[in-house]
Formats: sequence, C-alpha cells, structure tokens
Amino acid sequence: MNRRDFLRLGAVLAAPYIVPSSVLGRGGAVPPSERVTLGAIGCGGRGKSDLRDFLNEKDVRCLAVCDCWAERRNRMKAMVDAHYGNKDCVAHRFHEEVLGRDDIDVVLIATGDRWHAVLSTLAAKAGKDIYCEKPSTLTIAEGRALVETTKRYGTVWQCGTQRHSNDAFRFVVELIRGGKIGKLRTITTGFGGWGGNGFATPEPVPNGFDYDRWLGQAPWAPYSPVRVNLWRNNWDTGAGVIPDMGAHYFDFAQWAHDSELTGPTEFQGEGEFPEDGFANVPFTINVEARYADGVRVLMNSGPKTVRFDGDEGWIHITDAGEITAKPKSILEGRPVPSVHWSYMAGHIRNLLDCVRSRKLTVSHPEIAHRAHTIAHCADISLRLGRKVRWNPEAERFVGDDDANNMLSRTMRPPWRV
Amino acid sequence: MKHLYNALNFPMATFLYPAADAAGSVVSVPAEAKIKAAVAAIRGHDYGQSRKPLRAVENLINQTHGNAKLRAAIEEEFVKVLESEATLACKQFVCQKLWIIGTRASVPALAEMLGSANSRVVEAACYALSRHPSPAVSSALRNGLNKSQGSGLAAVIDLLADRRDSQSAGAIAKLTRSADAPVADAAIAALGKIATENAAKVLADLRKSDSPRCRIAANHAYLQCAQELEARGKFARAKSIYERLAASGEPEHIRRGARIGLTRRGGGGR
Repeated sequence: MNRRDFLRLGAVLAAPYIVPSSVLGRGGAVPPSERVTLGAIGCGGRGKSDLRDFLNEKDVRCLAVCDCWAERRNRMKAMVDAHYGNKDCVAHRFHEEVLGRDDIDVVLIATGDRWHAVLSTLAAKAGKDIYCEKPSTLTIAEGRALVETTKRYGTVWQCGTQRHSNDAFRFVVELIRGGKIGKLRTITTGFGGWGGNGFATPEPVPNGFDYDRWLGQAPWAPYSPVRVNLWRNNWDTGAGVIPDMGAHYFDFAQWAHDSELTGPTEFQGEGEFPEDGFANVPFTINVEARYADGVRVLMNSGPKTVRFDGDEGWIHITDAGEITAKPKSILEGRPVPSVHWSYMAGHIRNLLDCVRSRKLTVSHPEIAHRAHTIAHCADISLRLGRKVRWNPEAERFVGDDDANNMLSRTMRPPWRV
Repeated sequence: MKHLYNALNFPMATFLYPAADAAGSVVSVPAEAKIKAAVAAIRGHDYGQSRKPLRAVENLINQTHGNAKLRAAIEEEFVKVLESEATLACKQFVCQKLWIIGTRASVPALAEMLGSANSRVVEAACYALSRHPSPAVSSALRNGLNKSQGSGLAAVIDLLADRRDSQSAGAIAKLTRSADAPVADAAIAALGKIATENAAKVLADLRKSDSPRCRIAANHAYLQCAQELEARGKFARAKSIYERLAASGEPEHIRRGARIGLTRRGGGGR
C-alpha cells in the first residue's frame, strides 16, 4: 500500500456512519455518547499497566478482562472493580467470550507476542477497535495480513508505540524534519541489555493455567516454567529484543526520516546468540541498515537512546525523554519538553479520538508494519549470518531464497491471520 | 519463582555467529562427514535438553550458504531424520531449518509426514513447507487433504490458503461442511483467500446456511474474497460481492467493510 492508498482509506474511515455499539445502546449498555467500552485481553504486567492508563480516561469503561491464567484475570478484575467501586467487570478465560460481547467497543491486546496479530485479526472480524501492544507481529507476512485485515473492516487500530504521542519525541522529529541538524545521515538506536536463559524441562501444567491457549500459534512444546517465564527469548513464542524495542525506535526513526511507509534496503550485522539453553534469540546486537538515500540506522546494545546525526549537528534523546544537542543552538527558541517513555495518556487519547472520528491513529497498521519490518529484516540478517537486501515496495528480499522463506511461517491451528 | 530464579542465573555463555565476508562468501566450509556427524548428533534431542548439538547444525547451515552441494548434503541428512524414529522435538527442529533451506529434495519426506496420525507431526511438516516455492509442495499438500485429519488437516488447509492454491479450491469446498468444526472453519476461511470464481460461489451458498457459525464464517470469507479479487484487478466481480454484503442484514462491521470496498477503486469508484 502506498501513501495515496492510505490517505484514501483515511478518508473512508472518516465517514461518519459508524458509532461504537454502546452508543447505540446495544447489549443493554447505557448510551452516553462519550463513553467507550473496553475489554482487556492479557492480564500480565504490561496489560495491567496499560489498563491502569485506560482507566484514567474518564470516557472509558472497562467491562471485561481476559487471560488464560485464572489468578491473573481474577487479580485484574479486582483492580477494575476497585477502581469503579462495584463488581461489574467480568473475568473471561476465553477471548472468544470478550470478542462476542456486543457491548464492548475496543479491546486492549497485551498478551504474548505470538498472539498480537492473531488477536488483532479476530478482534477486527468481531467489529472491535484495537489497542495492540508491540511487537505486533512475529513475521513480515503477519504484518501485511494485519494491514489488509484492518483495512478490510475499517478497524481503528493503534500500535502500543506510545513514544509516537510523546511531546519530547515529537519535538525531536520536528527539529529534524525542520532541518535543524542539516541533512540527516545516521540514526543510532541503543536497545539496552537483554538476557535470561535456562533449560525448558517439561513439567505438569499447573492448575488454573490454560497452557494450550497460552501457546497459541507457536509450535507445540510441553509446558515448562522456563518456556512460560522467558517466552520472549525463543523464536517460537516471542520476537526477541530487536522487534521488542525496535517497534518503538524504528517507528521513531522512520517518523523523523519521513519514511514511515517504506524502509531501508540493506541490513548487515552481528548478533551474540546464547550457546545453549531455551533462549535462541540474540542477546547483544550490532546491526547496520541503510536506506536507498544513504541514511543509515545503527542498532546496538548500548543504553536505550536514539541519536540523530546530520551534516550540521546532532540530537540525542534518552528513553527518559531527556534531549541534548550539538550545537546547543538547535534547542534554543522553544521550551524543550522532557517526557518519560512510559507516558501513555496521549497515545490512548489518540486512539479514543479516532474511535469516534474513524480517522487513522498516529501508529496505524501500515506505520507499525513498516517499523516492525525493519526489526524482522535485521533479525533475519542475524539468523542467516549475512547481509540481506530488501525491496520495500515488493516486500521481498532481493536474490535471497533463504531470507524470503522466512517472510512467514505456518501457525498452529486453529489460529491464523 | 524457583524456576525463574534458576533461569535468570543461567550462565550467559554465548556464541557469535560467523560472519560472511563482504561478498557473502563462505568463511569456512565443513566437510560432508562433519555434516553427517552433526545431524546424527541431534536425532535423540528432546525438550529441555541442551541445544548445543542444534546450534552446531545451525552454524553449518549458515556456513554453507551459496554451496549447493553441501546444502544438499545437509538436506539429505535431514530427510533421513524425518524418515526415522527420531523424536518429535528433533523433527520439529529439522522442519524449522527446512523452512529456511528446504528444496524439492525434502518434499517427499515432508509429504509423508502429512499423513501422520499425530497432528503435531503434520504441523511440523507444514512449518517446513510454509514458503517452499516448488509446485511439488502444492501437489503434496493437495494430497494431504485426503490423508490428514483434525488439527493437522486444518494446518494443511491453512497452508494451501496462504499459498493461494486455486487447484485445491474444489477439494477444500467439500471440507466446508465437515463435521469437525475447526476443519470447516479453516476451509471456509481458505476459500476467501483462494478467491476463485468457484470459491466465491461456494461462499455465497454458505451465507445461506442454517448454521450461524457457518454463516458468520462465510460472510468474513466472502468479504476477504472480494478484497482478494480487487487486488487481482477483478474489480467488477469484487464490486458485486461488496454490493451484496453492503445491502445485507449482516452485522454493521461487515457492511462497513463492504462500503469501504465500494469506495475504493474496486467498487463504486469505477
């Protein structure tokens, strides 16, 4: 999809013929037109944190939580009930029950990585709008399917890349797009440390845990506490460090570089992989990607920061939102914002506004897919141990059958995108 | 918590993948005997065991990039594993490597796996065949429709759908009325992706089914069918489907999708 196609879609989505189901009074919901009803799928640490931020929005009403862990969903229900001072929130074991409710407008998807695209697809087909945590995909093909599915249903979908709604990060983008560092040459992204390993020795599945549901699309493997606790560190169940943080940093980099709907054309680097154990994703990385215009994106395992180097200076921002620059004059003339990465309200507000307006969110599917594609290309380069060339238009690797074979992978039924 | 504690205290030994030189050529070339020994060492691999033997094979794969002879030697050893009584964990690993490097040479062994009564074996074979471009794969998968069952059969259907295999549309259409609901669901969804003229007709019929589950699945697949046809430039056919869905008494989001389709170039814009 090109920019023109997406703008056309935006115009269609803006047509005022859709209103949230609760506004129509369906499912017995009271129809205060300003209220958006929410179901939260995934009750782990991130899901709980996201939901707290949603609950802070006065026009949100959370009606349901869902998780394959009984203990987690019951704990999250208790949190919602305490917030509203009642017992109305329903704790569901199966996402089908949440998606089948006519009185829910939006779902928050904060599950494991392997579920993000699958649940986004199912939620779109159920007529829900979506806030989906990152990384939203495990493969490039999942991302393309997600774009096509949300386009097909006119779904309002926001990727959990909240830096896109953060004033500090936006400020940096404005400076770079405004030419304050001259011509942009290099974007350096630090991903921080990554680790955790062990042997996934099979054990009996604990009571109250639907392990098969937890596993989702991943190839079958027996339950193990290591597999479940360290799922991010194995390709079967997680995406590893590059998509995990790259979803944020490449979204930011492409935004500043004004290349949100395309991507780099070359990837090359080295990764340090665990020699043994359950973990098989890189723990440290050193990758260089290059756009057709010569701009480079460097990825390393240094502190979580992003630095933009141009012909006439540089700008640096930490994950805490602290901005520095050289020459210092780049930052003069306007108050310099400092907003921590964890600030969520602006991103959630953008989603809620778009649910009403039917406009595209700031981190809409195509933008998220393109940012994730950079991460997946980098990982494929590391896994193959060689340079790969990427055609962002065709969304294919150039002259590399092995790499093209890794564009998609078969999911374990009944899960599909 | 004890397990997590142990996991986090695992020794952080690491291995640096050997990098290819700037031209992408192989840094060190293993002998065929080394390949045989490395693959033989993984045959007994099971869940929870050391992955060091697996890593050795992965390294051989990367080191042999561009060397067709040695890649063929690796694939030949992989086929022997698939045809043996090796563990499921071992076969899953081999299939995940064939996903990347598989050629026509491994298709017969993978095709045989599609007939396994163990759906996990079928799923592993489908993983290996995910992107394999050979026409022999499509043929093997079509045969798999008659050999697989349950979750394994659903995996075969899904893969044929992802490959947009038009020649399987007739056989998949028959499976839309399977008593096994996940198989029927997979078949209906597949017809939406395959999107042949016959697939569209079957979906149109299924929209009138007495089964609500079938009707709902058929509506979604019908909408996807229109989108697929539009992407293939069959705008008039896509438009006719969008118009039917937009005018139906279906849920709002289905009609919304149809209206969006009509406003694109495949619909009312033409």
